[in-house]
Amino acid sequence: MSKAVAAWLPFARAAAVGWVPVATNNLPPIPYARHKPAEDEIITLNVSGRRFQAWRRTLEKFPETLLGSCEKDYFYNERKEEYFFDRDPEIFRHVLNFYRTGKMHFPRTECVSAIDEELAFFGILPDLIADCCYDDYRDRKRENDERMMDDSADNFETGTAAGTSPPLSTSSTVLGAGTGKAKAGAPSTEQSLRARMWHAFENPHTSTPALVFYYVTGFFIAVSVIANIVETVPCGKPTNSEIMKPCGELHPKIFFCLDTACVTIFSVEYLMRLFAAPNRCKFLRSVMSIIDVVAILPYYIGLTITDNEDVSGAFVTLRVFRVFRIFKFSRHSQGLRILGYTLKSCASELGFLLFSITMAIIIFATVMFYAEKGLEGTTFVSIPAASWYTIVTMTTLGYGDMVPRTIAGKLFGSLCSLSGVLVIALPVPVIVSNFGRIYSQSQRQDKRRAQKRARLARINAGKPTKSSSYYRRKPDFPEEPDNPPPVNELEVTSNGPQRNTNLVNRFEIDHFHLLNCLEKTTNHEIFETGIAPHSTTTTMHHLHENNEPHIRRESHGSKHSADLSECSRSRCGGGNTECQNKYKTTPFVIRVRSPSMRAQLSDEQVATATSNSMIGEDAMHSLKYCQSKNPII
Amino acid sequence: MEKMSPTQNDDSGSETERAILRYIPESVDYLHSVTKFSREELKTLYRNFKNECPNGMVNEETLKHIYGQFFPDGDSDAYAHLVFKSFDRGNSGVVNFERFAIGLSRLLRGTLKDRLRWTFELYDAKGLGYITKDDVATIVRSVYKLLGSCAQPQLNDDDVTEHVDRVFDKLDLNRVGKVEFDDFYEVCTKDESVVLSMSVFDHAM
Repeated sequence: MSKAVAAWLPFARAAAVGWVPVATNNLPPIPYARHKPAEDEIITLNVSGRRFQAWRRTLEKFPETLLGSCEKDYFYNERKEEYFFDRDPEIFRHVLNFYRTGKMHFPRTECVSAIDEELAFFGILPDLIADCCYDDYRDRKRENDERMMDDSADNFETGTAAGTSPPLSTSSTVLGAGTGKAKAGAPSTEQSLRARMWHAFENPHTSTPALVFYYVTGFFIAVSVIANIVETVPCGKPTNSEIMKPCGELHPKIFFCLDTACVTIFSVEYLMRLFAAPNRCKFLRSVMSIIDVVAILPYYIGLTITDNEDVSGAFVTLRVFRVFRIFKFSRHSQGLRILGYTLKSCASELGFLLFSITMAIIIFATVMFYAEKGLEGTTFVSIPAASWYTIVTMTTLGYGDMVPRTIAGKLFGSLCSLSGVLVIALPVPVIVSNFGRIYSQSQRQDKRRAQKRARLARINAGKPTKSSSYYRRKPDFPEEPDNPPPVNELEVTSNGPQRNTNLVNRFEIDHFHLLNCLEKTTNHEIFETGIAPHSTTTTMHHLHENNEPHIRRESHGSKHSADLSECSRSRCGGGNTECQNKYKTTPFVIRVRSPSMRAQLSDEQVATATSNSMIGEDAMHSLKYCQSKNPII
Repeated sequence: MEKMSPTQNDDSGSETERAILRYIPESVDYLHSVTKFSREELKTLYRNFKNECPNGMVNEETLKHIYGQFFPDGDSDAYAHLVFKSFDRGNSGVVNFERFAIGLSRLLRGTLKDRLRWTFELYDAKGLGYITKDDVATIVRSVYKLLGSCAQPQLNDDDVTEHVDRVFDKLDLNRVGKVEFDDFYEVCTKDESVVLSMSVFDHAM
């Protein structure tokens, strides 16, 4: 319910005249006996010497902020009859504009943290920053946060929930396993072993054993890869043969030992990671773990396979997979990770390149085949054979193993090589630049989407629910017009400048009265469907939700509602007057959710609920002023 | 007298060149003389009016939106439409500040007869001079729509129809099927609850 529309309440009220002839019951009178036309006055705000002026009503549009509540009375200078704030006048201009227009614009020339401080001081949530400026604000804020994080010694936390982790940061693995859960805090001794191990695995530079482990595994990966390579180098003649054999066959035992050692290390590492992973399923599904498994599985499969002739072919194939161990380096190298990530994000471009090349190959292969078909002894025996020629020609390799000999073949062959240059050379730079563009763009897109999601979630959670405020605090409007509630109940009980609270609460009263009239007209009551558990600005603390008998107590501390604390007599079971007195001192109002429970509510239940929610006057006051100093950002 | 100052006039009707009309209201003194508001009240009223409608005129969409803010759970379009039509007697599509202020003054500071006259005009959407049962049904339904979906006890059509019947039977004394203003006025002034409820708005602003 935007307070800006409060100004139109007279109109809404006037429109309600039309309900009267069709009303089922009498309409309740306006709950204040005397009509005090609240005059508007101009308030002077002196901010470090620069004077701003505004209507009081303008400022009171947002009662949960400093200027809209009576918190500003602390800054009142009686002698000069103005409010003095020792803050930045440049930024205050924007703050004041917020009251005027309802939108907080973010000045790009100011520093983000300065803005944040001012917003915090004046009790304005960053959520209220207008859409036009919000992205900019979030970007700048994130930069700032990241810079601060880099400066600080602790470097565990990388990406925020709203943003993607920059791949260059050392302590995140973009393709990493279970990064989402790897936000362990400082490795303190109180943390469980698992968490500590996981943290050590993910952030090897933080502790010495982790570093040692990191280097040891790196070393063994290198050893394993080199062993694979050396295995195939011919290094000498065996005793009883004239042929050069590769090292692997000459010294099988050495290589077998090396392989076993490496695989042991890898297996141990994998099992340890699996043990330490906070989310094992996620870890198992991650790319790195798949690479690990693929790297060590062939060895175990090879162990189980006997020296059977038939399967030895498959066994050899399995050895090919050992080369995947090189991908284990991606845990150690960020460049590899970036490459993999960008490949993944450029997959569609690459796919298109592949598709267009395939098309060209097929076309030219067909043409070349039919061009060379008639020739005797031609190498272009089939279209797939001709496609080998096409590929070699288009990529300007030109091995020369297949050469066209007919005139038509040579013509099309030259066409093929020319088009090859175009088809392959052109998209490649485009794709390369696409890498950079798409990479940063997808990062920004994800960032913005996540930001929007988070922002919407935050705003939805914090939106003051619509008629819930009415439903929650339905005051008791008397049935008979000659029995209005005594006026002093509606006056604020605390001392001090109360003009603005009067106005604010007046609006609430008026709005509730209007809704009450509607109820009486139609003889139905307004209940709310969705209830937000709390509003971000105004929750001070939750009271626990009592499931039986469906009593829910909520605070609505944004209003200084000491005066609006009448309980609706019809709500309590049985219309007892002491109930009304009890509620007078607390702003917490009992709200019964299900109407059937209303009748069953016994006095003592209500009484206990009330007494639990009673808070002393002083605490209430301090809470009131506390909440605008510490808005929940 | 209305002063319209078009800042950009174009008859082609293309989107970008639509005439932007601005409306400058009459002076405070004039409005003070034709309404029962004080000068201060008029000033406050206009300032709030202008905040929402910088052009000085409010169109139906804006009014519906504003009215809907007061009944967040309900669907206020129907009732707001009727109210808009009652303010915009000339069917011009916009309500300028004078009509707005005069209408409000009639409702909030007027006599019982003024209010009943306005109510009659509200119900008589077609401007025929009499109210039929359909008109009453329209009104009652639109009021019920304001309640929204979360009303207790649960809304059903029978309730609404019964309500309409009840109201129309009360109004249509002569059993003619249509209610003229005089009958309407007579019925309402004789009805204690109506008189009482109307007096609720005596001090409203």
